[in-house]
Amino acid sequence: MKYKVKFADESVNVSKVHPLKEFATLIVGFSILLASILFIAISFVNIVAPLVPLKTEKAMFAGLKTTTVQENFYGLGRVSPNIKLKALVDKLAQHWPENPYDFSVAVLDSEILNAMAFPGGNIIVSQGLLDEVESENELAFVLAHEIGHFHNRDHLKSLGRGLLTSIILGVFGKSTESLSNVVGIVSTSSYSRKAEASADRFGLELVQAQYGNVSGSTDLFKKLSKNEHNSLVQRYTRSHPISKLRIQEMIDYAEKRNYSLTEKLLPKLIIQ
Amino acid sequence: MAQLIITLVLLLITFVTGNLIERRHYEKIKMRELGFINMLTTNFENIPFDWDASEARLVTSNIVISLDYFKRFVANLRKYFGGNIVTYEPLMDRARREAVLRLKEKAKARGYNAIINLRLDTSQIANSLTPKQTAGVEILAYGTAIKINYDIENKDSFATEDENRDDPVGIIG
Amino acid sequence: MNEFLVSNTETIPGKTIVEFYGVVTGSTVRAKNIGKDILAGFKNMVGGELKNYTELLQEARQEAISRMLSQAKGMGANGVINVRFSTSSIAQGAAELFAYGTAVRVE
Repeated sequence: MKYKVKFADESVNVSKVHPLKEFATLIVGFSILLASILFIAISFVNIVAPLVPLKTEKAMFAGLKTTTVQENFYGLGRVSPNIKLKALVDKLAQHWPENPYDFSVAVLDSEILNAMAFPGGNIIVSQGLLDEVESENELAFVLAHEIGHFHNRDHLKSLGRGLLTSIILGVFGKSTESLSNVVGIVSTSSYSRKAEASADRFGLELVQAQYGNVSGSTDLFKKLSKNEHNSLVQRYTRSHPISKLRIQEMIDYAEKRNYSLTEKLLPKLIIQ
Repeated sequence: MAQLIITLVLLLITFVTGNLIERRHYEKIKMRELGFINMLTTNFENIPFDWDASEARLVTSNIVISLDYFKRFVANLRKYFGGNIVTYEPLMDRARREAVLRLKEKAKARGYNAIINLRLDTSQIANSLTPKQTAGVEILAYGTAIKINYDIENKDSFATEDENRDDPVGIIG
Repeated sequence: MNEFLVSNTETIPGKTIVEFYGVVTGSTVRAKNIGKDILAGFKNMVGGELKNYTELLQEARQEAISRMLSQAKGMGANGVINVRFSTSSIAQGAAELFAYGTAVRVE
C-alpha cells in the first residue's frame, strides 16, 4: 500500500450560500410565517367575538361596574358615575335601535385626555378630556365613537386578540424576541387602527342623527395633532391612526354623505 | 423599538467581525495544511504489514470555537424551517481542520511523521451565564503518531523492499 | 468496475488496497424543524419511533456521506474505507452529522 500525496477539496463541507443572503431570506420567511399565523388567529377572533351573546358578556364582566364610585378602577384611578354624561350617551344611543346595552358612564379623575369603552357597557371619560372640549358637539362625537366600539364588539375583539397574540408570540418569540415583537406589533396595531377608524365612522352617523350635522367632530383631533410627531414608524405601530389621517378620513366620509361640518356649534355642556 | 436597534447593531458588528476572523483563520489554515501535506494521516486501526514503522504514541489536540451572535441568530431562525444551517458549517469545518493541524504539529514536534487511527469528537460547550444558549463547540482530535521510514526524495510513495517483515500489529503506546 | 467502494472495515475481501490518500470528511449541520418538533412532542408521550426525526437524520447523514465521497472522488480515489460516523448536538436544536474515512484506490 502506497501513500500518495493528494490535495483534498475541503470546500465540500461548506454550503455555498452567502450568510447575508441566508439572513435576509430567513428574516422575510419568518416574518411572513408569523404574520400569517397572527392573521389566522385574529380573523378567528374577529369572527367569534361578535357571536358572544350579551348576557354572557354582562356576566363575564359583572365586576366592571361603574355605577358606583370606585377608588382605583383597574389601576387607572378614581372613577365616579355622571348622570348628565349618561343622559347624553343615552340620547345618542337612541339612534342605534339594536342597542342591547344599558350604558353606565363615569368620569376618571385624571388630566390625561382619554375615553375608553369597557366590556359590559361601561364608558369612561377622563376629566382632562372634559376640560379640553369646547362644545357639546365635540363631546358628543367622543361619546358616539365609544358607542361605536360597542357596536363593533371591539372590546371583546381586542381582549381575544391580545390573548392569542401573547400565546403565539410566546411560542415563536423564544429566541427571536426583537423580530417577533416587531411583527406582532405591526400586525395587531393595524387591526386596532382599522377598529378605531370604523368607530369614527359610526360616531359620525350617531352625531348626524342627533344634531343633523357633524360639525365639531374633528375638533379634538385637530388639537391632538398639534402635539403629534408623524414618523413613518409611528404610522404603522400605533394603536390609533395618526390624527392627521383620522381627520382626513372623517372629512372624506362626511363629504361623501353630505354631512355638514360647518354648522354652528352648541355651547359646552355643564357636566358637574 | 430601542431593543430592535440594539439587536440590529449587534448583528451588524458581529457579522462583520465574525466574517473577518473566519477569513483570516481560513487563510492560516490553508497555509499550514500545505506544509503538512506530506504527513501521512489515516484512520486505519492497524499498521499495514508492509510499512516500516517504529515507535507509537497517542497524541491529542483540541480547539474550542465560539458561535458568534450573528451565526446564532440566523441558526435560531433556521429552526423554524429546518434544513442546513449555513452559518454553522464553516465554523465546524474550520474547527476540525484546526484541530487536525494542531495534532499534526504536536506529532511533528515530537519527532513523529505519520498519524494513524485518527478519531474526531465533538461536544457542546455551554456558557454558564446563559444556560440555554451554547457558547461554543469543542473539537477533539486524537490518534496514534508513529515514525515511518520512507524515501524522503520520492515523497510520493514509500514502502520497504523487505516483504518478509513481521506484521507489527497496531500498537497504541 | 466504476463502482465507488465504501466500507467501514480496513480491508475489503477480494480486493487489494493499492494506494491511499488520507482522511476525507463529510459533515452537515442540520436544524430541527419546529413544526415537526411539536408533532414529535405529542408522539413522545405515546412512545414508539419518531418517524419524522428518523427520516430527518437519515437524510442529513446521507448528505454528509455524499460530501465525504465527493471529496474522495476529487482526490482520484475509488473507495473510502474505515468509515466512522459521529452525531453531536452543537447548539439547541442543531446537530452536526459527521462521517470520515480514508480515501483509497482499490483493485
